[in-house]
Amino acid sequence: MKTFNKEDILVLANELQFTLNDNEIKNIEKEFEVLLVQLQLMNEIDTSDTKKMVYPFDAPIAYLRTDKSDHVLSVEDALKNAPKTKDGYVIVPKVVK
Amino acid sequence: MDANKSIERLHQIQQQTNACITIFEKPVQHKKEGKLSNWSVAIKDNFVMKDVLTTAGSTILSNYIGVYDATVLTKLADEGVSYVAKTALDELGMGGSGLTCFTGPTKNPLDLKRQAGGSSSGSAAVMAANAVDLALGSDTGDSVRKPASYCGVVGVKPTYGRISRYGVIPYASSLDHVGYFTHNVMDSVKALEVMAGFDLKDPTTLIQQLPAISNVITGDLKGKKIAIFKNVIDHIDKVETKQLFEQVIDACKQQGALVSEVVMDEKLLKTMLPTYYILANCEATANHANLVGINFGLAQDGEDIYDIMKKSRTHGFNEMIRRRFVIGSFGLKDENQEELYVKAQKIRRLLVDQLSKALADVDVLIAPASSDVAPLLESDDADRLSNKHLISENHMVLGNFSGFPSMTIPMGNINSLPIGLNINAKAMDEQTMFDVALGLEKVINYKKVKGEV
Amino acid sequence: MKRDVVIGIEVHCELKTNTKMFSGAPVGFAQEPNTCVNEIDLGHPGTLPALNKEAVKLSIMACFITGCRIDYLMRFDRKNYYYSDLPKGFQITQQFYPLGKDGSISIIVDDQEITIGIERIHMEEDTAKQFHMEDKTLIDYNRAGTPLIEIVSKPDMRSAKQAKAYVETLRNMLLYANVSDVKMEEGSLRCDVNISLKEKGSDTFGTKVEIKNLNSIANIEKAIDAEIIRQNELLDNNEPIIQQTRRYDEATKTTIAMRDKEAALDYRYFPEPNIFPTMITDALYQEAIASIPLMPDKKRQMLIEDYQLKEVDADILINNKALLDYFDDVIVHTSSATLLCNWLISEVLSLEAVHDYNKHIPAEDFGRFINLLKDNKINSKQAKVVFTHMLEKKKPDDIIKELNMVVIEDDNLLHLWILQAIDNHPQSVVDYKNGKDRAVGFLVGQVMKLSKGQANPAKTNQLVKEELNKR
Repeated sequence: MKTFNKEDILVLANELQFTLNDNEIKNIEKEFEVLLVQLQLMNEIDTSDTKKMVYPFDAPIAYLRTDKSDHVLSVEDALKNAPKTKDGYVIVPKVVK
Repeated sequence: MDANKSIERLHQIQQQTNACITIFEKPVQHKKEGKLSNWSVAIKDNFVMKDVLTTAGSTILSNYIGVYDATVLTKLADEGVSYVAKTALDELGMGGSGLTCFTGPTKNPLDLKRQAGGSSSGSAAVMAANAVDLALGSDTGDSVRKPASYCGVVGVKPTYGRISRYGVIPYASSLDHVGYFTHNVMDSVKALEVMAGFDLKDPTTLIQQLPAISNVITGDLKGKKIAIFKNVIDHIDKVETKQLFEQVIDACKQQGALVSEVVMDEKLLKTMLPTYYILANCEATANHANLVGINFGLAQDGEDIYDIMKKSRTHGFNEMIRRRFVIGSFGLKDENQEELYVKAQKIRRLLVDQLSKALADVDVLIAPASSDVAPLLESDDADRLSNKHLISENHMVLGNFSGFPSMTIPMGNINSLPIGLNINAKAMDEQTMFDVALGLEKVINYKKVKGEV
Repeated sequence: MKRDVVIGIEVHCELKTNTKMFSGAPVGFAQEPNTCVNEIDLGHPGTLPALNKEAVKLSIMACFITGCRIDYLMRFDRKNYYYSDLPKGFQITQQFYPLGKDGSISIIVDDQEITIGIERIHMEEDTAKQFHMEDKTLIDYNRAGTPLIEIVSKPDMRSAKQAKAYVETLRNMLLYANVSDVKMEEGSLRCDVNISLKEKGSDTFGTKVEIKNLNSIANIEKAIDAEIIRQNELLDNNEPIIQQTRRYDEATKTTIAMRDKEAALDYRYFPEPNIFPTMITDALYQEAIASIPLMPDKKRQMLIEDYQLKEVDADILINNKALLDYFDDVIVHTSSATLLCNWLISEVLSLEAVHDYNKHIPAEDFGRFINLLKDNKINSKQAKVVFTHMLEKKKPDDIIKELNMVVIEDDNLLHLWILQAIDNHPQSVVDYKNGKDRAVGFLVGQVMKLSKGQANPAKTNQLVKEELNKR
C-alpha cells in the first residue's frame, strides 16, 4: 500500500499552501493508519468490471447558457472583500516569475 | 411564527447553545406576501447572503461579506419568508459533531451536555429550541439527517439537483445537497415546493419539475411497501433504539403496510465510510483552493503571494481541516488517483447499485437514523472500525452517493432524548417519501421533549 | 541544417463571445480594471460554472475548419494549482476528453504544400491579468474566465519558416471563421513553441524546450532561429539540453531561461463535478457548421475563378481580411472586379489600417467611383484627384461637379487637339512610320496637356492611331 511518512506529509502541506506543527503531523500519521485499515476493506471489493461514478446521475444533459451579458458586479462589490486594493486593482507583493 | 419572537428566542438560547453566528437585528423580509409569508427562517452560515457575513464556520471566511445571494435564499424570499439568523456549522461543513465551528461548539438545547450533531448543528439546534419554522442546512454525508435525529426534528435531503446549490459554499460537489429542517412533514413538503426548481446558475439542477405534492399525499400507509434495512438494525447494540424501531414497524403493519427486509452485502457496506472520506476529502481539498487570502477572506501579511497564502491558510483552517486536506490531496495525486479516488468512485457505483436494487420493488427503505441519541460533547469517534460505526452510524451516506431523496423524522424518545427514523425513496420520488413519512409521523405521534433551554 | 528540428506549437485563442466561458459577465479588452467580473470569475465561495453556448459553437467551428474529429459529449476537468491569477485555485479545462482530435491544416512554404497535424483542440478558461510594478503586482480579473480554445499541433514543423507559416495560416483561418479576433498584440492569440533537435535521421527525439510569451509572428520566427542556434551549440559541445521554459529577448536576439520545469507540477486532474457531461445536439452542430464563412483557401479560389483576379492580387486580399471584407462590400455596387482590386491594392491598402474600410470611404461611394472610371466618365488622372477628395467624406458625383471634371470624348474636339499636337511635333509621324509605336503614346500625352487632362485617353489613343495611319 502507499507509504505516508512525515516527509510526504510536509510536501503535501506545502503544496496545499499551509504549515503543520509536529503535533499536527503526528495526528495525521495516526489518521492515516486508520485510513489504511479502512482502505483494506475497500481493496477487498472487486471493482475490475465497474465503471467509476463521477456524478450521482449518469444521463448527460444538453443545457447550455445563452451568451448574453447579464451578470456583472460593481467594482465596489468586486473589491469589497479584497485585503488590499489600489486604483481598482487587487494588489499583492510583486510576483517574481 | 413571529419573526421578532424568533429573534428574541435566539438571543435567549445563544449563550448556552452557541447555535448562531449572526443573529439579525431585525427580521429580513423582502416581500410581505407569499406561500410562506409567516415563516421565520434560519440559514446555515454556508449559504452566501448579500451584504451579510457568511463564514462557513471557518476563520478564513470570518470577514467575508457576501456579494450575491444563494438562489434558494431568493426563492424563499420571493414567497415572503423572514430571515432571522445565520447558524453555526462544523467548519466548512466538514464534520458530524457541531463541535468545530470557529465560534466554538454548538450545544444541544435539549441537553446542553450533548452534541446537536453536524455539520448543520446550529440549524438543528435552533429548531430543537423552537426558535424558527424552517432552518436551512446542507447534507453531504448526512449533515442534515443526523442532527435531525439528535434534535428531534424533521430533516430532509431531497434528490440531488432538486434544490439549487448556487451560493452554497461547497464541501464535496458530487455529494452536496441543500437540505433543511422543519417541525413536521407537511411543512417540509411546503418548503420544498418553494425551494425546488431548475436554476440557470446551477446546471446540475433537475429539469424535471417537482410535482404538486402537498395536494396529493394522504399519509395512508395501507399497501405501502416498506423495506427494513436489516444490516443497520443488526449492528445496533442499543436495545431501546431497536425497540422503538420495532414499534414503528408494528404500527406500520397495523396500518396495512407491506413490510419486508433488505439485506445488502456486508463487506460492501463496510466500505461506505472510507469511500465517503476519500471522495469527500478529495473534492473538498480542490473546492477550497480558492480560500487563499488574495482577493477575499481573512488574509495574513506576507512577503510574497505564497507566504500570504501559507500564513492565511494555516491561520484560517483548524487542524482537522488541514488534516483532511492533506488526506484529500494525497488521494488526488496523479500516482494515487486510481487506487484511492477512482477506487472510491467505483465502490460508490456498487453501493448505489445495491441501494437501487433494494428500492426496486418497494416504496421506501427505512432504518434508524442513528444507533443512539445525541452523544455527549466530549465523546470521541468511538471505535471507528466497528461495524456499528461503519454501518449503523453512517448508512445515510448512501443517500448522498446515490442522490436519492432521504429524510429523517423523529421516531421517539429514549430517556427524554429524541432519536430519528430515516426514510429513503427512489430518485426524484419525493412524493412517495413524503407520503410514507406523513403516515409514519401519524402513527409515531411524536411527543417533543422539553429542552433545557 | 545541422540536425533535424522538431517543432510543435500550442496556440491559445480567445473566443469571440459576449460573455465568459462559465459566467454571464462580459468579456472585455482594455476596460477599466475589475469592471467585467462577477462572483464566479472572482472565485468567490459557493459559485458554480454554467457553460457558454456560443463558446461551444465557436469551438466546434474551430474543430471543423481544422478537420478535427469532434467528441459530441463534452466533459470537463479541473487542473489544480495555486497562483495569484487563478482565483478558484483550479482551471476548468478538458484534459481527458478534448473537444477535437486528429485534425490538420495545409501550409505553403517556398511554394510547397505541407500538412501540419493538429493533435487536439480543447476548451478552457483564461486566468486573470497581472501587471508587475516595481514593488507590487496588480491583479485585474476582467480576463478571468474568458473562453479559450487551446490548439495543440503535432510536432510536425521542421523550421522557423514552417512555424511562421503554420501560425499565419491557422490565425487566418480562425479570423475568417469569426471564431476569434486573433490579435497577438491584444493577447487574443498566444503561442508557445516547443522545440527540440535530433541527429539527422535518428528516431530519438531530443529534449524539448518551451518558448513562451511570444507576442508577434515575427518574434516566433526569430525565437526559433535563435533557439536552434543555441541548442546546436550546446549539442556540439556535448552539453545537455535542459528541459525548461524560455522567453525571447528582443534586445539580445536570444532566448533566455524563465524557470526550470521542475519535476512537472502534479496538477491532479480530475473530472469537474459541477459540470455534467453535456451533449452537443445535432441542432447545435448544424448551427455551428452553417455559421462558418468561406475559409481562406475557398475564398481565394472564388476570387480567382469567379472574379478573374490575378493570383498575386487574390493573395494580397486574402491576407488582409479587412480589405477583403471591403472588397466584398464594394463589389455589390460594381461589376469591375479587376479595376476595383487594382485600386484597393494600390491606393486603399496604404491608407491607415482599419477594421472597417467603410470608415475611409463608404462602399457604395467607392463602387460608384469605380463605375465612373469604368465608363470613362473620368480618366485615371482625374480619378486620383476624386479619390483624395472622397477621403474627405465627399461623394464622387459631387466632387466631379464641384471641380468641373469632365471627360472629353467628342471626336471633333479631340481631332482638333490631335492635329495641333502633330503640327507641333512632326517628328512623331516620321517615328511612327519607322515602327516606333511610342510615338502614339507621346502624342496622346500632348493631347492630354492641351486638353488640361480632360481628354479621354483611350479614345485619344485610338484617334491618334487612325490619324497617323492616314499619313
